[in-house]
Amino acid sequence: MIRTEALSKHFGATVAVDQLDLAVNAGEFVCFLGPNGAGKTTTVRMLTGLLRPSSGRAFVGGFDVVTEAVEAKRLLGYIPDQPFLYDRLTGREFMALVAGLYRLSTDALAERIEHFLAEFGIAEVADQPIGDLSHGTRQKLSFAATFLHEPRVVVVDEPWVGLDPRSIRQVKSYLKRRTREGLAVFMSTHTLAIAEEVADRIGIIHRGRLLALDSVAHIKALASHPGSLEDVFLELTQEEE
Amino acid sequence: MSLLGTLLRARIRVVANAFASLGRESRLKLAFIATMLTLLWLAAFAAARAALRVLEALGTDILGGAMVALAPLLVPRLLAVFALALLIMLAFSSALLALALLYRSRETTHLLTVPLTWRAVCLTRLGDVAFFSSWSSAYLGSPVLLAYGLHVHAHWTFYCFAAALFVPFVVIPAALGTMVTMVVVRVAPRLPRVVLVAAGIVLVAATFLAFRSRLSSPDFHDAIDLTPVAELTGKAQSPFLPSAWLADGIVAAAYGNPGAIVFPFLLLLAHALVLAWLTGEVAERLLHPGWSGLASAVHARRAPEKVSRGWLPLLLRPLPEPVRALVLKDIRVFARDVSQWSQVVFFFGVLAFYVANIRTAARGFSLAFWQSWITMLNTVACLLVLATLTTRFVFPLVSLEGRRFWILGLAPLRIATIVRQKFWLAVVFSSGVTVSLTAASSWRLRLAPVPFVITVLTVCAASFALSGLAVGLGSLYPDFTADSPARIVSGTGGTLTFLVSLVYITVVASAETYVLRWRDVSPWSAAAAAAAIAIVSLAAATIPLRLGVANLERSDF
Repeated sequence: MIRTEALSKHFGATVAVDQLDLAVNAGEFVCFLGPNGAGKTTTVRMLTGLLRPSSGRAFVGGFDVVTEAVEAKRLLGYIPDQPFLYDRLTGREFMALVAGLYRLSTDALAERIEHFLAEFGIAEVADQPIGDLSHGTRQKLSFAATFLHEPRVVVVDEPWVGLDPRSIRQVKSYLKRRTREGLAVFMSTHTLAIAEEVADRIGIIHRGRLLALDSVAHIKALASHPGSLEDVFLELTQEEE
Repeated sequence: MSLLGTLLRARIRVVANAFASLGRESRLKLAFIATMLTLLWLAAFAAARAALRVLEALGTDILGGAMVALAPLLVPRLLAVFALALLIMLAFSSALLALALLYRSRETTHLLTVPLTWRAVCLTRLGDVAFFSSWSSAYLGSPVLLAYGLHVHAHWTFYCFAAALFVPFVVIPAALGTMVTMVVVRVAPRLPRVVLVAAGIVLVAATFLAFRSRLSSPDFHDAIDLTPVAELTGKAQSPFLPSAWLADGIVAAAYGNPGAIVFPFLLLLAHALVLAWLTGEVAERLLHPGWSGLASAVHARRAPEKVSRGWLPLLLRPLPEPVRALVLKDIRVFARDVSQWSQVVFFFGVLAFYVANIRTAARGFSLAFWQSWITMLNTVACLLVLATLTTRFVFPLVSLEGRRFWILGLAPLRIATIVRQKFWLAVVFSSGVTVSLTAASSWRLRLAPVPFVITVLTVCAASFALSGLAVGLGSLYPDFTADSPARIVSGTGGTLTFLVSLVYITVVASAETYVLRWRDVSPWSAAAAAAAIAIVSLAAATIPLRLGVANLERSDF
């Protein structure tokens, strides 16, 4: 569902992402790990069509994110680390806006909106202005809005900021369940424990280059001494410095 | 519902909710704002009525009878001049707004992630650009139109036709400004800085010279000679200018000539639609590469070492810490925010235009009566510039610290020190701009030494007062949730600051006029007027500052 071919992004003389070849299949959960400034967010922003690649191509559901942007975005859900929400709208009004933007059928739309508000535990505050909501509640609203159009691919950039432990558990479970139903999830994160718990495969990026992309067990086996994912991560990214 | 319809509906909900949230604001603040907005509207109406009466009387006074009426000749020409000025201002402000709304707004980033075409994203924002650039023109233009309608005894349909003409008219500069911004954003990051600066200087100089030559005319004289007036204003009536179509349509509507309204209306509508379509086409090709290029340029840009380690820290070295650190931070943050400094550049461009052309307008007015009025009007113009500067750039300073208050709040600093630092920074910058503007314009007007000194001193006092007012009210009504200066200013606190500034300007300009207009006033009366200006200025600065500091000391962060 996600495929990149020699995807690169240069910021002036800096190579943020270098010849990235990646594939995320339907029903697969891939976590993208890397130190600060490694190129994770740049990759995410290219996959979502925000940034244009300097070279190479990215596809979502077979659609090129640059030349077939609208078709690609119809299949895509994106949850940024600090989602933009209209402070002056209420949660329900925001959900209705998203439904309109994705041209969702009005049949049973209200029920669907209620379903997702309830799924993420925010139905009770959905009539308050978004500006009055806590950071965690806003984040849950962005999850609810993202899944409203039933995306086939979800790209998530460090989604745990502001969420309490119960909400983190709830979101993890939801993402895993949807993955089993065929959703492709690509998540950029610093939280190694969560990545180890939820990921089918883990990619480690450093200085724009993909150092490894494999199952958790295989990634762990890359360390010179068997250890935790943290040990492997530190060893792989240390080697490059 | 179409995508644009969906977005429009969301916009309407946002506005409705914003009005609903006014219930949380202080009743006193809202009452003051409502009263002031009404008074300002009524003042504009009264001024327009008076101006139209003067024009009406002009023909009979000068030519000795009702045989020749000058108003029907002059009013359409003046309308065309106003419409042309409005067109130019709207085009510039639209270009700046397009930069902020299309490339700097988080909402646009959000819209780019949903399945909208670039055209749809751009057209959505084009509507915002047109609205935000023109609402104040509609607010201040409506009393003028009402005065004109009453003056010519227009049918009530005149006001409907005028509104119908205004809507496509504002779309034209909005589309032009937006397209220019998209082209500049696409091209500028690829060019070396030297080329950019050189191109900017050439463009500004060429525009300046072009306007200067277009607006130059034979001298005005104390005796009324309509030839230069007709020659100058006639240039604004070129049939190729959308502003002339608007003026023609309004005049036709005023005189109840429906046949003559249709053509200018269709011209405006056709051009608005074509330009909107063209804007969408340009967006399809340039918006995404430009947006992506600008986002990439942010990463690619190296640290601005010259500012960080260059002359600025050295220049500020005499200041004691922590004031020096705070001033350095404020200047750096401002200088690195394109949407902020680009507005200042625009501001300076308008001021340079004003100063350069003021001699043309004033030359030949040797009568003391005209000298006094022009001096007063020049002072008022300078004070309005100052009020705009302080409201737009000084008022948000305290609010912008909101999300960073964990740094300043934890530092061993008194709140009063932070507020005072912002106040003095504002005084230095605002007086630097406005005192030099006032001195330059007064020099161009060839004012006598006494009015020159009075004008400059008045503006010095006003810089002190309006800076205190803006920092004080910014501390009294901070918005710590917003991180955009434009958004902070657009709230009720910003509106209140500008309106209180207008009250201050009215008081000070009245006192100055008292001294200048009646030059034979006794020295004691003049001294009393000067003392009144000083006392009012001191009060206008210190009272809001004290209230603001007290409010921040009571606040939780």
